[in-house]
Amino acid sequence: MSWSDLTHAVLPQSVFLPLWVKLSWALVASAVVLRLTYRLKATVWPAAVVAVLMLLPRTDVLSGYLALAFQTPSVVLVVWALWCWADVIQLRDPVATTPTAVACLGVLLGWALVLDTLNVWPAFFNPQLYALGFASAGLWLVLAVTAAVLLWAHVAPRWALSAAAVLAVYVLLRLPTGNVWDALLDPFVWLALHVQLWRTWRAART
Amino acid sequence: MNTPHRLALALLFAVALCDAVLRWQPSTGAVTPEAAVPVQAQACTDYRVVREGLIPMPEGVPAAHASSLVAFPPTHPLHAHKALAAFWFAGTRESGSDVQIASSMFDHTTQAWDAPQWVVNRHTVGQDLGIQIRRIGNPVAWADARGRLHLFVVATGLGGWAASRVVHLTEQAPMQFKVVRTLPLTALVPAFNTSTLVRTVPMPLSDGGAVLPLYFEIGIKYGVAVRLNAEGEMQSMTRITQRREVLQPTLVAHSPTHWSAFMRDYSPTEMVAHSETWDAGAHWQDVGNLALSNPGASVAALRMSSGGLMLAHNPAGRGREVLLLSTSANQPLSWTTRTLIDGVKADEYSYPTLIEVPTVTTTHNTQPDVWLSYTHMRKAIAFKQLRFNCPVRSQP
Repeated sequence: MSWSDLTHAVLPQSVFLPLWVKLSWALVASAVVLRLTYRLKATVWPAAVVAVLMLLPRTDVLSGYLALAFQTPSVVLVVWALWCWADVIQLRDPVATTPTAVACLGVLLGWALVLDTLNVWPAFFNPQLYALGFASAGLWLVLAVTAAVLLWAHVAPRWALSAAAVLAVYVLLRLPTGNVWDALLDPFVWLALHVQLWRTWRAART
Repeated sequence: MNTPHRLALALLFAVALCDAVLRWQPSTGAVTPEAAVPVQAQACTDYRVVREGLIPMPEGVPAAHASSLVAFPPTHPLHAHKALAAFWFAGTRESGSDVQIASSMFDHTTQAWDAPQWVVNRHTVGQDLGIQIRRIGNPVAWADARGRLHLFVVATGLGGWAASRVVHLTEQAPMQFKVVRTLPLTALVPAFNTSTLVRTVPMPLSDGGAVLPLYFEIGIKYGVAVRLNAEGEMQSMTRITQRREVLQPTLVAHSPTHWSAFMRDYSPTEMVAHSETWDAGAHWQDVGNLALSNPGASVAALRMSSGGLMLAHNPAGRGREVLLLSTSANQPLSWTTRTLIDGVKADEYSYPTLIEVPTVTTTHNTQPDVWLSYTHMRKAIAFKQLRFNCPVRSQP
């Protein structure tokens, strides 16, 4: 095996992509509806209808329009949506399990990707950060950080298994884009991590 | 540490192993593919236009722009009858909802362009991707190592050109294209993988792959190079400039590992921007500007079989009403400029594309013809066939 084997991109099979667009947006949109409506009335029907509408062949244009604006959700967002459904079905209160350290790293990674996209790294330091997400090095970095968090931080079992599952889905299917940063972060996840940090900071102050 | 944590750690280890196994490919020799460059190094500036005119437009379509050319390789089923194909976008206006990708082929027998055909529209692209597509734009064509044609087409989401993506299509049957994917070129955070466009033809690599030049454009503008393997699959991407006001890079190889990118300049400087790499695209450095002006208009470069370089461009001051063709020795760069078209105010001869196409009579010691296509008044695509009078030295 040569070094180039580990640096080249591996993209998802093209046959998976339309399925991923439809399925992922159906899960995410229905989870959002579930969270909004379940507080008003303890029923899953509105959310289930949204999910079915977005999966049916003639009404799947809804997921197409979401993809027109937002492309695809990250694998993390899809896993959050699955937990949202699981919590309601098992009559549990929703909980945020992302460790604060991980939320911090996620927020920093997002800002670093902003700098990378805007090409504002100084000339002497240009990590080509987004491109790194296609190589094994990017994945290994994520694996090392995740392992360190598992070993040294007190994390919820749900988070531990979710993190491993997200990375397993990424490696086996390369969804959503073949880039590990896209599997971990999208603007909705990034925004949620900002909110989590802000709430943690406010709670610490009081 | 409890059982879920141990299980998660074991899964992480399995993930690392899986990644290594799934990435493994039988070694093809070269670690980094190098550019496919001719061994000759003499410049040839003695050329004449042997054929020119307009490529036929689809009937009743008033607007056309951004053409791309590709020569049919010997392994392509149409090679015996067709020399090259042109692709461009056409419709009622640029960014119109009816814009489609049109194509025409140049026939060996009739020595003329065939009637145009539509090859890509936004509805079929959207259907294949499962995504609604608002508009389509610039196409770029390339032939892979097996002779199969690929098209890279700009497609827009909400937000117009700022929300552009590059859609990759491949040929399923001769001149019948099917979507492969949207190329992942920017991160979901913050850009939802948008704001990248394609304009100029790929530069061939020795392994049968190519380097596809692209650019990011939303307020700031910069060039990016994507390496494709022999089957056209994206392998890696590299930013080719630190500047933020240059776009539409066009690539030439001076040697297998020394390449240049010339770029359209959107700054007040109005000169053709230049960056180069000495390690086959792994790292790029800005090296200032060429001594050629540029009014913020697309340029096209070609490394010719003779060893020389050719650059089609518009000059600052006159803008797109004048189309120039500059030639230079491979290294050092020293440009000789000839005016190809000298129009009047409000004329437009822009967005050039240059490729080499061997003629039926091309022999080992004659240079292939150069074909130039460009936008003609935004109403049609024009072409010129250039023939060189310099013999090419035989390879040792």
